[in-house]
Amino acid sequence: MSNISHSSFLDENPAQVEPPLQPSKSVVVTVSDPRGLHLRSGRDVVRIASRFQARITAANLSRNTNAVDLKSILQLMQLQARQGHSLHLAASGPDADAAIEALCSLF
Amino acid sequence: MQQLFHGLSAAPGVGIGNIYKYAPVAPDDTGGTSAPPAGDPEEEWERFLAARLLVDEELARLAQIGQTATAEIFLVHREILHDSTLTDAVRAAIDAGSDATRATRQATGELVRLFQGLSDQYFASRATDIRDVGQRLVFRLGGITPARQLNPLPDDTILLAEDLTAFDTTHLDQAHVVGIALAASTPTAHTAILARSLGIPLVCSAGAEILQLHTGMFGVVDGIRGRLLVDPDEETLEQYELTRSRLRRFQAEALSQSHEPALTPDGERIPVRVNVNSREDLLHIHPNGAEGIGLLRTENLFQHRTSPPTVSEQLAAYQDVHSYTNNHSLTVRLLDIGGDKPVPYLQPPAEANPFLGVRGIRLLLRHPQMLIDQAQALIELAQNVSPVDRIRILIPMISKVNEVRQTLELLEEIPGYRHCRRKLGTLEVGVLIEVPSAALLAHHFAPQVDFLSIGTNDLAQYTLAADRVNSAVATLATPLDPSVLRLIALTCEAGRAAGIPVAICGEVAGDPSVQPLLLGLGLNEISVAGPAVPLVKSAIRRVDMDAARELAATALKCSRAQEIHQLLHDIG
Repeated sequence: MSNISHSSFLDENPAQVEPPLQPSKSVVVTVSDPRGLHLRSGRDVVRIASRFQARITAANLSRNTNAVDLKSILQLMQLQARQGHSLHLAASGPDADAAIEALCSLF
Repeated sequence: MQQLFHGLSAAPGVGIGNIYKYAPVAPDDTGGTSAPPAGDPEEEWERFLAARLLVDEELARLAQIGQTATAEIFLVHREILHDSTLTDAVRAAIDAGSDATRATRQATGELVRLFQGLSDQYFASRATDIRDVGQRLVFRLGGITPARQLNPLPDDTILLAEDLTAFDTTHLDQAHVVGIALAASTPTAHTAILARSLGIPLVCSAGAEILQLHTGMFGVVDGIRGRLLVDPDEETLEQYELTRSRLRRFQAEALSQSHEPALTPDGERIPVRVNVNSREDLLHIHPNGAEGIGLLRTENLFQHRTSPPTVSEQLAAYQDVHSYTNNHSLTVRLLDIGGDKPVPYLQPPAEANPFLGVRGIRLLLRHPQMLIDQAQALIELAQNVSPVDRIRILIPMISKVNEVRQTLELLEEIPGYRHCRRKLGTLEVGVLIEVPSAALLAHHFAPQVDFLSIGTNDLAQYTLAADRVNSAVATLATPLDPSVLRLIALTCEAGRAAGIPVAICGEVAGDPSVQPLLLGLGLNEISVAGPAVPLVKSAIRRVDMDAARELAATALKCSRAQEIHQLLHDIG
């Protein structure tokens, strides 16, 4: 995971991995969009996340970022997620399972 | 004295006029002390919500007019407008005693600073979007916004700024702005998209030096070649006036036909491709109707790391780029690096003059494993493509015939090379002609390769011994100098004799008015910056090949660049 080739074309910082916190449901996904998680695709993620009651966060493992609120596009952008980056998604709340399942289909 | 600033072409066209320097103040920095005392927090929150509703309606309206790309900007801005991170911050500031206007400035200002600090350029540029939304809100709250300085503007204004928001661009006096020059920004920023849809020539990334220029100075924005000229000399100005009137005539037509192939009236098809420096350039390929990538620079892949990228890392990067070529070919320039851009793992010797030192193929032949790994990745890619979207390896900085032979020998040994190049037809090898000796001796190696590509920027620099980014000598390094044209002609002759195509990938190729000369000299393929593609294609469709050959023959007899410029005017 520390050697993600798609991101290396323009990104300068190789990835560092840190063990994530353990909430009620979590998963690691890889960004497949060639343009990364840009404003437009990010908008879809926020839309889906906002449908659930669960608190949903994401951290970019490839950039070693803090976890941010996935229901905010402005926080999502701070992940600076490019194609090939690994994101750790975590949900806690009554519909956490469903939320993670729905979000996984977007990556 | 004429001053020349190099930037990136972001919206095509030529604008001639007087500079107006725009220095916006950040939304959080203005009107703090003169603001009315804050009312009850609930009242201020209501004011904010009312302003937000007005901005939302405005953005929804803007999204309905204009092109899809423009509409997307406003939809994204609506998303930011309603974002909980922003509104929570506004609410917190209001609860802490600020009025709605100041709370909005504070909240957006903090987010802008946060984004500006991000390392990835795409995400850092989103600061502009946040500032934009902040300005719209402050405007509706009755506060002062810097965009008020942008309307009205005098006739023939060249707007000069560090950057513009989409809000600035939609509120500026469009009828009177003939060109925009930005110190920062990128060709994919929203401002560039808007400028293209408004038909205003735009040069971005021109560097902080342009901010030293003053309002009232006379200048030219060259959105075709990505330049800003200040106080142009008479001859240059005349050329630009002619180019401008020609461009106006066929701009509209060019855009409507950008996805059609470029065929001369005699039926000769000229592929028009793009030069790619960054990931952002990839996004220009399809919208402009380009036929693949004529030059992919690969230095980014090798810099800022402690060891060279592995074959599989490279393969993944090239595969990614190839997915943007729209089923057209991908020309990849082998690592072209020298002492000016050192990479730590190569331990390059310190050189007094790296442009005449160990760079390009000279460096690769000293580190053959680097060359082999890069070629291996490209060959692996070539095994999974068709001849239509084939892979073309371009060898940089060739100055000796021997270097071509040595490179080909190394390539021969790589598994899959012969199969792809000779059986499948999915791999080609070409030489970049950028050193005068390579042009003079091209007939010796042309029969061993599949194409030649002329890099006119370096060819002009090396022929005329003038650095084109040194403004004191930059005008000497014109590719339209008769000496450079003769080298181009020799290269084309060598290509023709060997039965292989000759491409051009220098800046000059983006100028529509030189297409008759280029085709007349015998060039078969053109590679330019993305935004220039529609106008170049359109110009090619007007080239009468007999007249073009005659023009080239006349140009080759000229003794001065000025005469060649004159010839181009006469036919325009």
